[in-house]
Amino acid sequence: MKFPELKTSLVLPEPLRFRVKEIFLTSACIFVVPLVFLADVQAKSDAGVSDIPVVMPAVTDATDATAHPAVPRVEQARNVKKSLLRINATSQSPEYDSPWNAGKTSRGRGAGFVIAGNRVMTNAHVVSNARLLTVEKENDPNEYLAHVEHIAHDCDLAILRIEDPRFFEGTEALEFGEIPPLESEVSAYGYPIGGSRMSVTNGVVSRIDFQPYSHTSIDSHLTIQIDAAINPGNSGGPVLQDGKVVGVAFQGYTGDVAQSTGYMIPTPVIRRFLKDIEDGSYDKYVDLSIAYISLQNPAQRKALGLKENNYGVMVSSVYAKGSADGVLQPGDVLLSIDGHPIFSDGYIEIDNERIEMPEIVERKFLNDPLNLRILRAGEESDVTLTLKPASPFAIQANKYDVKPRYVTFGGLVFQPLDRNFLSAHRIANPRVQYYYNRYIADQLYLEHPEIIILSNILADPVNAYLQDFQHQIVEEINGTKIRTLEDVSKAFKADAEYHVIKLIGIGRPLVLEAKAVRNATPRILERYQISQSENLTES
Amino acid sequence: MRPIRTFFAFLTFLVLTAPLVAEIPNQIIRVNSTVQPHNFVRPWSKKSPSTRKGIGTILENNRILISAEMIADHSYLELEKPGTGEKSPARVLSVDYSANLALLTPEDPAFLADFTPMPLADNIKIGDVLSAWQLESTGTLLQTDALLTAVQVAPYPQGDISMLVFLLTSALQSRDASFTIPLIKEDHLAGIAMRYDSRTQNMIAIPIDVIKKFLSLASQPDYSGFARIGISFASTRDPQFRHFIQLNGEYDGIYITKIFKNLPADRAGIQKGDILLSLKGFQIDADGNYEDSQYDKLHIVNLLTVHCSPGETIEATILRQGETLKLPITLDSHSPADSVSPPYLIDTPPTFMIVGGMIFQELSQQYLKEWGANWASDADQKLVYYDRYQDELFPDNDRKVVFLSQLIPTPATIGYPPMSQLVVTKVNNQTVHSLQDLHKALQSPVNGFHQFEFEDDPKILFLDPQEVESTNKALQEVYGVPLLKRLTPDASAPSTPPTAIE
Repeated sequence: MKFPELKTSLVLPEPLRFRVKEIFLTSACIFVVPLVFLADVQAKSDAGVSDIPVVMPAVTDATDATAHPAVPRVEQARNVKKSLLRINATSQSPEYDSPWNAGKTSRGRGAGFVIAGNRVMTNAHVVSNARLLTVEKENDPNEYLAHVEHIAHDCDLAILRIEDPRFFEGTEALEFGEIPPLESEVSAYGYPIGGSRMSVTNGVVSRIDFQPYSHTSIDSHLTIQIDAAINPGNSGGPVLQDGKVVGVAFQGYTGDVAQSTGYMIPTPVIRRFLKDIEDGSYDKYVDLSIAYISLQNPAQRKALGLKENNYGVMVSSVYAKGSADGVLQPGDVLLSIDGHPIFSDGYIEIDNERIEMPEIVERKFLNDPLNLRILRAGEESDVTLTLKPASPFAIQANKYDVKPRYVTFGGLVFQPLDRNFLSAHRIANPRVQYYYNRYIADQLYLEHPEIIILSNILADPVNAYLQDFQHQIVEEINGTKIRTLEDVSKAFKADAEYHVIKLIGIGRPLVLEAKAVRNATPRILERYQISQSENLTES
Repeated sequence: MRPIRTFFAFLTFLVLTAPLVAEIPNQIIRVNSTVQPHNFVRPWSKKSPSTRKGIGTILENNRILISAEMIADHSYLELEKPGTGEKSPARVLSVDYSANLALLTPEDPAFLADFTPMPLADNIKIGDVLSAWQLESTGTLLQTDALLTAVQVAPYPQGDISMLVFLLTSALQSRDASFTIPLIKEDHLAGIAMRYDSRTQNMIAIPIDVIKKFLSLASQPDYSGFARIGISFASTRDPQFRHFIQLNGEYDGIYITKIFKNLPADRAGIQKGDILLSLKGFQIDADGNYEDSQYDKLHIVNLLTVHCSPGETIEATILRQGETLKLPITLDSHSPADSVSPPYLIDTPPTFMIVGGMIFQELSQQYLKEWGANWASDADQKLVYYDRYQDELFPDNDRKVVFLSQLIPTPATIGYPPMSQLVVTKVNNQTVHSLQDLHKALQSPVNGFHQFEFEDDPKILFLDPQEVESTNKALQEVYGVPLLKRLTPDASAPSTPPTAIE
């Protein structure tokens, strides 16, 4: 009633991400599981062409209520009503092709629910890049201002704070349950495809395994697939069983890719997030930063000196600067992880459930120790490593809540290569594609903590002959190797008659006369309405 | 029934009689080519055959000129006389796929007895109206005007070289046998059309200048391609750049950005950063053009390809640190097959080796092109990078890139995940830079196992040599694979036609 224009918001894009797992990007993610990665490459090579289905964000039809005859759980629904809320988000996403602009605004809505400590839980993607957040609850005509208190993009969860104490009058915090068994029934609550009244859909637990989280696109965590309808607007809503939250609905497919496959974030991931923020800040997931392969081939087992049993996986890559750097080597066989024997297919057993080995690391925190029993050159030994985050992988992740970084100089624009940058620029240069796609696999991050691209040339007499060099990678400026954007900014501050830029693979240096640049700079900034000639920080 | 049949007879009569007034040409002939490319994804097999039809031009000495694309990967070539439809098999005398030109001759030397060779045109100029010669189904000549609008250097269809092309506009009509269409000026051959866009009516043709050079080079016994020098360069027009390299106003010329190792410019002592001022006495302007006697300003590539020959020594004037130097450069010839990753492999079967279900191949652009028109983005990015930047990555040009292209599931590979496109580094501790290296390394297993090392995950794989033996046999039967290895292209089926490019 209060904001009639919001009631028409069916046409607004809902924030739920409907995206398929993007094979090539997830393949380079935290734990490369070659079985998944290579199977898809193989499919490509057989066909001779690429055929990766892409699921686009879309609003699909509401659930067909007859499809899942729901057992009425009147009481549960009544309780959820006291906790469920609708989140209206006005967000602003930066333009990586004009990084000095504030960006365009959009509105979306999702769901959230009250948890212990007068906090609200929702998905990170519901409140990413938010400029203004309001929440509404059932049976309350008021709209309340909300703020993001903690946001974890890598597991798509966020905690909101609502200052107005009146909001929590009559609300009841929901409690968390455990992982629901396969085929047990669950109910999803939210506001699918808009609407102001709570919607309930029912289904069963279809599968429990690791899935990529589309929000960043590079993170994979434990995920529960349910066949209850999950649609845009369900995002951030609780999924309940026996009165307790067993998951947060967060992603799915459009009907043309897979039907009745909704995904929720299970409670081990939620609990980890809540524990991580207990100290007031979110430290992100830690990562082993290795790739390993299963050891099911008899010749491979024999050659590595393994017994004829079902245990052990082989380390194939150890990423430099990661947790396992200096501790593990390619060719090591991992026999057990924190005392859990590792089966030859990479699974372990926790609480009588077979689950992928990384789950042990998933539940740990920054600087936690991890114990591994390994076989190296026929000798078994125990090693301990300290877990660290997987920082170099961030280049391939969707980033939110950050300002684009850039340097302009004489109309030349320099930006670091990352996923946000790539999706805003159409780059044909195969070298850039290589540096991006192989950044982790070929450990290019060692030489290039950042890959700096000459991203644009704002035409001006000072750069009239440099138009051909757009989208090349910067190697050196004024004799300084360029490893970060800060290096670019610093190198141009050198007192020189000429500024000389070397690009990778380009035999001709780019030369700008210092005097000409000094004259051109105010003119270029004004003509192209650039408020700041550089921005080196993300905040 | 009767009236209808009469009606048809009447129609036939019309069709047959009406063109009788038009002439049936005796300087061009239909060429029908049945092509069957090799399958680079399943390297032991060929793809399904298809037919290309074009028009060849009769030249002196029983030769027929045609575009090389027409006959690429052909299994059978046939000539067909326009008037009578009489046919005869033909064979290839010379072919250069980079230059997109080929010479054929009929198997029956007397087949062209009633034909006249077409003379070659001189002095073609921009603004000339050429005539595109096509054949009606009856064998009569269909002539369409084509206006020559521009002459420039542009990439040729295989993409490995750029040479002179004619750009024309013409309202060409759709007829069969149009894969190659001769362009005629006053009964002289002026070019061969190789691309036509019916929407814009733009046509791209191989100029007579390139054809003449091809004929002259192909008449020598050891034809290997057009001349090359082996440099990359940049314009020196940017005034700030000119100041920086201290190139003062009186000089033009181009800035050498790259010298390809062991190619003519490198052997002649030209260096990166030199300013190339002239070649063979022709001044080079700041954009890399020279003044052509016939077409005015042209890219220096034309000077090298059309006005020079492989083996010829030309003089280069360069400016180095303010001093001009004269250096003799002995040109050699473009030889795509010698590349680390050849730009194309036509009439050449792919090399491969099957080891217990693992298929190993050598990288070529021909392999990557199996991913279709967007292969550069769709094919494996590491292999694309290796192909694209092979000059930087393997400057010595003395190796191949061997990779595991796919894994056929067999009892020996049981338990291995599907894998593909993995570049091989070592096998049994021996470096592998060719399939021959691989073959040799497999003679000496380490500790009773074959050990394969790759650049990417899974990095290390093992196979049991005894199991490989038995699996290879079974694999041939189960999967119908006729051949387990082809280490060099020559070990191919005997049907492969001779090519001048080899």
